[in-house]
Amino acid sequence: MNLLEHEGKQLLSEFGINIPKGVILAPDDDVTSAASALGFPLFVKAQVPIGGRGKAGGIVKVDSMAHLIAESNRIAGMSIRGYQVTSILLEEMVHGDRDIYVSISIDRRSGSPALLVGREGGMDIESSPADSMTREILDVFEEIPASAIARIEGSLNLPKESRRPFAEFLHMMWSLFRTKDLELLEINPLTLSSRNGRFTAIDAKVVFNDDAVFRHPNMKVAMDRGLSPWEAECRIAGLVGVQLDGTIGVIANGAGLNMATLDTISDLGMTGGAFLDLGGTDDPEKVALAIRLMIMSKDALGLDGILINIFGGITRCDTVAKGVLQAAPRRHDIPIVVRMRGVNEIDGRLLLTTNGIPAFLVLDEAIYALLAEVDGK
Amino acid sequence: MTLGVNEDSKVIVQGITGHQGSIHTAEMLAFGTRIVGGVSPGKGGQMVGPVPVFDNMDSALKHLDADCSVLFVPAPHCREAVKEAVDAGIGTIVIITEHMPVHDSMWIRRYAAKMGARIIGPNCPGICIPGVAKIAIMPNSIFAKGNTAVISRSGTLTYEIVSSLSDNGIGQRCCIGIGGDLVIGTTMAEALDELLDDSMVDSIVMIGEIGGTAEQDAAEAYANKPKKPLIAYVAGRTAPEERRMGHAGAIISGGSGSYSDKVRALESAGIRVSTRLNDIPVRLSQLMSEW
Repeated sequence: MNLLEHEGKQLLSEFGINIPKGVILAPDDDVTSAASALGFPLFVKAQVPIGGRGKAGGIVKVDSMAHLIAESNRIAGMSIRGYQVTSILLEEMVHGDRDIYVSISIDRRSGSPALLVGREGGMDIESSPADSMTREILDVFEEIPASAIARIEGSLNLPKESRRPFAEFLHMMWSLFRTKDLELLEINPLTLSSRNGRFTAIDAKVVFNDDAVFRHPNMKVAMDRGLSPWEAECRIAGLVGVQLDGTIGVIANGAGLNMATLDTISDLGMTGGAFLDLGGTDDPEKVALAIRLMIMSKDALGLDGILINIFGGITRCDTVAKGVLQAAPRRHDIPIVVRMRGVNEIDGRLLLTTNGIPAFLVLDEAIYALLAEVDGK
Repeated sequence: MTLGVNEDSKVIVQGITGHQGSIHTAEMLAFGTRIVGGVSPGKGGQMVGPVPVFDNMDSALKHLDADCSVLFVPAPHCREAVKEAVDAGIGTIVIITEHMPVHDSMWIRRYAAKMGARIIGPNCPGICIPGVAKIAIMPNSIFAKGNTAVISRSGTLTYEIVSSLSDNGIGQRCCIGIGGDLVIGTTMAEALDELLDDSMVDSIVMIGEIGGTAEQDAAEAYANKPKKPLIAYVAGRTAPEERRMGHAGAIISGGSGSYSDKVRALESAGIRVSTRLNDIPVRLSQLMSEW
């Protein structure tokens, strides 16, 4: 789950990392008193849980009250790549002499956290030359070793008086990353002021590991962030829904099976409109729930047809078929075809077909049958 | 022996008295797995079918020998349960549980490495060696004995592909479900490495998906060893970027982990990629006849 910039900065501050002075405002709030406290010039920043705000015009520097009022009104009403701006951050301008990139993320290859530091802060990390970056794999059992810090400070060519504060800063980042179950903690840029030797985090991207919410209950409130209303409904039902651009909804009992089914649908000339993962379960109640969730939102999802792909494991296929029928799929005006395989599969498919739901053993046949029904409408 | 599992493996089921634990204990016993005991805190003294239940690993190992365990323990307690198994000297630990916090996964991976234990998973369907043992939730009926090894990041997609191999007379030596999470105990490259050295394996099917570098790392492992016929399949060709597709690890992030990256890396290492799900058995047969 992506934290908003101000939420991320709040966490940094809690762990001793300097952040610019700022005031968070709702779109309707009065900006004038906040501005007086911060002084001009200051930054107006849209708060949305995705990147690319700057390019979209969601981050501006203003140097007068009139300018501030105009820009905050504009930004407060913005929608950036589908995300409505829910708050704006007014922030003082911090003067620095050097911008550095620092992040801690999860290196999947080694299954360990990785610390990445770059000499060229403030720019797109992907465009940074490889030799400007230093990477250290970290040990979850240990503090960041002095040797790693020495290598990083060497590669950055930090002035002597900045080395100790920088080392302390890295320890604070590591502590925050582990304590708050983060997947990513990225500061870009981290600004160093030679005047007072302070490091300040100018921007922060923080991603929380959703699976750890049981030990961070305050994160619960934001769990639906970034999800469409339908996707949020699925999440509440204990399922995973992803809205797609096409017209065929796929319900399957397994994420890999679901993705493979969507790929196969595409091979045969149709487009995926929704992904709804039941998880590994073949529980008829969950199957019925999933079908209802998809049917009820078929118009919002833009669906012309629904394919259900169940590979039966523990539950017998006739029991799963009863679950499908429980959702009363025939009463709704959308073609639905089932592909079903597993124990008692013949009984299961028979039960479906005798109740008006076409059911097949072979996936391609099921998809062709759905294609025919969809085209026929 | 595959990843520490063979016909002599003695297995403890952690979380045995729960719904999933008890159902799958019965299924594993039916497959021929030697389940010697189970652990469920507070339930020591009970039986699950013929299997005695203990309060913890220590107490279980006072009464019996075991070298493997399989976890059906709720995610918040998994790290603790894995540590218990490692400390008790269990060599191969299979974690079925989904939604383990990634920091806990990194911790157990580090701890197991330090202590010399092997972890498979989390969020995996387990490991099955037809005719030998099944420490898994994979359905018993899909398997046929043979010499093809299957490695997969998926659950039910694995069953789908194994079934179609069996349908086409291609039996399996083993099937390893490594799991769908961001951080796992045994990587695709590590599993592949072992299978390339296993004389009972004459061919391999690798089932991947979008997200991460598992397939790219496996391709590198393949390039560095004497070859065996290998067909790869990658799910998620049509998945959008920056969206988590069910599995914690199935996400194309910052342009990395895309389908095309994976296919390119696999093909550069000389691995044939089946672009269609249904083509896997045919492509493998073709490759075997050309080999």
